[in-house]
Amino acid sequence: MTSLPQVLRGSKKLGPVVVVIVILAVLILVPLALVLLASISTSVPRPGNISLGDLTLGNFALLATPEGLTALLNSIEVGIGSAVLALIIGSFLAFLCARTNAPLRKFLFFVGMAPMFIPALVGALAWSLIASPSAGFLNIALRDVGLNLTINIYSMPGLIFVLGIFYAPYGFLLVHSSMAMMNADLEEAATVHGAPLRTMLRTITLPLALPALLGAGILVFALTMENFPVAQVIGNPGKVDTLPTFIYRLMSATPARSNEAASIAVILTIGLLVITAAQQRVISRRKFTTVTGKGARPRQVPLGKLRWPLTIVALIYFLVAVVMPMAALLVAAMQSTPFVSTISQLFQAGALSFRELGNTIMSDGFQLGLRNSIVVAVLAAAVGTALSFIAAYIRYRTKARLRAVVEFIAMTPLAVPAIVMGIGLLWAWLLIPLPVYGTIFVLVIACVAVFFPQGYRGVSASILQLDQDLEDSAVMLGASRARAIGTVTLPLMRVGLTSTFLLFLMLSMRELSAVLFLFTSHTQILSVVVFEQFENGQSQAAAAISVLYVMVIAIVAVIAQTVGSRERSPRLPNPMKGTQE
Amino acid sequence: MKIQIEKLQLKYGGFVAIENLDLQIDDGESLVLLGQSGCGKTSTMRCVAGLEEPSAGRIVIDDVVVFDSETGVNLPPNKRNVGMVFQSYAVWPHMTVFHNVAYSLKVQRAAKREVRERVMAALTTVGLDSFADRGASLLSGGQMQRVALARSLVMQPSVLLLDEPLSNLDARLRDRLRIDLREIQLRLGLTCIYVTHDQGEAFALADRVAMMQRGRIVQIGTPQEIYAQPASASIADFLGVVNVFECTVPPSEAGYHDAQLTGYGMTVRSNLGVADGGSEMKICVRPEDFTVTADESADSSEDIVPNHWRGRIVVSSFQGDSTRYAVQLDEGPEIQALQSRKRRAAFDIGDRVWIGLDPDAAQLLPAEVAS
Repeated sequence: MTSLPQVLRGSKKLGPVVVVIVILAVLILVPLALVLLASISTSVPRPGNISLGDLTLGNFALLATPEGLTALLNSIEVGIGSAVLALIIGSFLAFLCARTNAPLRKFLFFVGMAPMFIPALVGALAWSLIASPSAGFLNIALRDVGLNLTINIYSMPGLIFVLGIFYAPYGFLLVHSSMAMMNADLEEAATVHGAPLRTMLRTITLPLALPALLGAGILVFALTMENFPVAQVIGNPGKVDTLPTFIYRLMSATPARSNEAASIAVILTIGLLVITAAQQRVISRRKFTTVTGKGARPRQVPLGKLRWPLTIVALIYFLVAVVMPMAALLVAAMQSTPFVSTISQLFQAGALSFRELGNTIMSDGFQLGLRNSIVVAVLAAAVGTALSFIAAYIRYRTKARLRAVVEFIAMTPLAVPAIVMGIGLLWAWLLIPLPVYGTIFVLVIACVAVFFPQGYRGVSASILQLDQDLEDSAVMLGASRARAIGTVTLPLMRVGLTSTFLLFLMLSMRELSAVLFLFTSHTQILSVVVFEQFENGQSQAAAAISVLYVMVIAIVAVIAQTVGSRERSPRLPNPMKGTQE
Repeated sequence: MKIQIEKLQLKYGGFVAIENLDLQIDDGESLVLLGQSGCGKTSTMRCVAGLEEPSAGRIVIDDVVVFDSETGVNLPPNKRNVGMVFQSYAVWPHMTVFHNVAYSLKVQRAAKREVRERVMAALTTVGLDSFADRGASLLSGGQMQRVALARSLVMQPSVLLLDEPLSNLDARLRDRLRIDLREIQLRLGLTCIYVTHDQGEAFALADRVAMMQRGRIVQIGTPQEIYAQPASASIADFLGVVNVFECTVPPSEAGYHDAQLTGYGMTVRSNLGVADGGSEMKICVRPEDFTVTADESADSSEDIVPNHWRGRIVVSSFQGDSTRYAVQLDEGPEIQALQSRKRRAAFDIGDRVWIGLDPDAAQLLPAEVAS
């Protein structure tokens, strides 16, 4: 039987948990619920206008139209194509880097990572400058040398190509860690039992890396399928519609076809949900197939004559994914005349100047965007990290009955496309009677909500590594729980919390899709400024801001790297090891 | 200080970790909770500490009710003045030894001079006074254990809880710290509760040992009592009595019992009384209580002297001061015998031997303690 004191004690303990659940629900669940509601309604959720009176499934009929069906099939095609391309590039680089004697291996690791610092939007912009059928630099060059050949990036293959090269780092990182951490003993056992190198790679190495490959493939599929900026910049001119661009067109039509947009958003979310569930299964199975980081370095595969040719292939990827895009942006930003008919024109005196770049730096638009970007990113990082810690603490350090709910809500955005979350947040914060809509805070909220799973996971991993006894012993010595957390747990988690902060910071700096429907002219962030300029046909201004945007991100990345490496983990005690005094 | 635990119960969902446990620990007493992992001993300790909330029961420390399910009292751990040395030591790696030990005094806002004096006194007690400014992550396991101890001692706790305090140390250091711990406990007159699964550790540290099985205390007594007279065959088994065989005990008016080994045509005489466990009885013999002697041809002494059997050495394993044999009895099970080096010549595998057993060393015990 439950006595009254027990009930009272129970509710006292539950209080803070309920508060956190309410905060997370407002942040994450309410927007989604509104999208769902809008998808089966004939009106948009507005203050004083939420009714369940006019429910309909009619909005979903849009999917059956040729328009809707094409967008759906295109999305799937884009997802599969770019996942395959990204995985081929990523695992090729990872194998070269982690397991062979290829030259320049250290640099190749950088090559594998580097495109991550170029937001997909900027990458797409750059490739449209390089290979747009009429004015792309590459096509001008082809015409210069007299080849009757036009490379049209504004096409399905073009879209797959751009997404593939800019999402290859995800494949690279996952596969690389799996290959680098592979237990050398397992492979050596195969060699000892008579397997030649080729057989060993086929029967041991590949099967062991397979879960990582599969997990990475599904992840890239999910990310590219919901990607909006690239699909908009590359796909839209070529009339290749995907679900995210379709949603955007419906939302920005006049009058806005919001309910139909919501129904497409629901379809996209369901698709992503299924994919994410599949990916989580693959990843969780991976736990017992991949092996510990202990033991000797895995064996190097001698490449022989192929050493240099394979490295050159890797360098070509670097050229395509980093050098050419950045060069194209720079040239476009510095062109003194917007129209170029031959490449040689660019080498004439006065053809290139820093004037436009300088103007851009001084322009109000850029400075406002920069300021807003930094404010949004820093606030989102601070709020996101704090909230992630609280959620992870409840989940892993308390016995609150609702702790599973906390984790469920925290992980939900993983299966929600950023653009869908953006629509939901728009409606949610128009409804919620707090003066947040139209301010910079709604952008902060969007970044926290969209990236919460990543932050929550990072902090959880760090909290799980910390022995609970460390905090409990402070409480046993008389400290209150809050003081124990402040003096013991937080200082010991400094490294994990710092890297979560930096992760939020980097992701928020790059985000476009989530804030697409939330900014005003005063709260534009850099990604929005670039996108707006491009949409308005100001490609030179867009290019100039892009160059500066990438530089800002690079500076943040360097700072993050420096801080991250300085924050070295304190050596945790290992009682199993200490034997002699 | 005195500790009183009444009708303590702890459930995790449907699993009962502690069942109706009563226990009293006197002022200055050292009590060891001994048992296998999962028997509820650590849970019991954590209930006393306040890190675990019992589902029912009452805990009184030094006349203060710290937990009572009836009245809803549940003091948080930081209000109980209970010291605890964790199995992992939980020494904070981001602080120096001094700051680790000074923690509780800082929480109490003690004056700086007092902090210094008391910390140094505690460090002197554990022999680490010269390590005060050392970073805690640079200590060996034994040193960390001492820091954890000093950190708890400095707050002058009503009771000190120690969770497997020696299990992470190597054998030699363990022997030394075991004596040190006992010496400190006796000198300071501390009330202590230890938790361990190691009988040697339990016997060395305890005034009284409480044997736990399946969330209950099945036997409580001095180390000598528990060692000499385990209450059941499963306790005997846990205490290292490796020769445990099922048997039936026919009623007997004589001062002894002739136990019939189940499955063999062999009887074992025991002079130790049967606690009339009724149904399931077992005969328990420590390996050192068997004697192994050479088989001086097949003489006719067989069956005349009780507890005298013929067998063959199956395994012989030299252990330094003694040799351990596995002996297959001709008309009985395989037994384990431990022979001191000084006592007899060594035997080889295959040797025919006589196995002897003093009826005073053969214990007839119920399989389990009746619940």
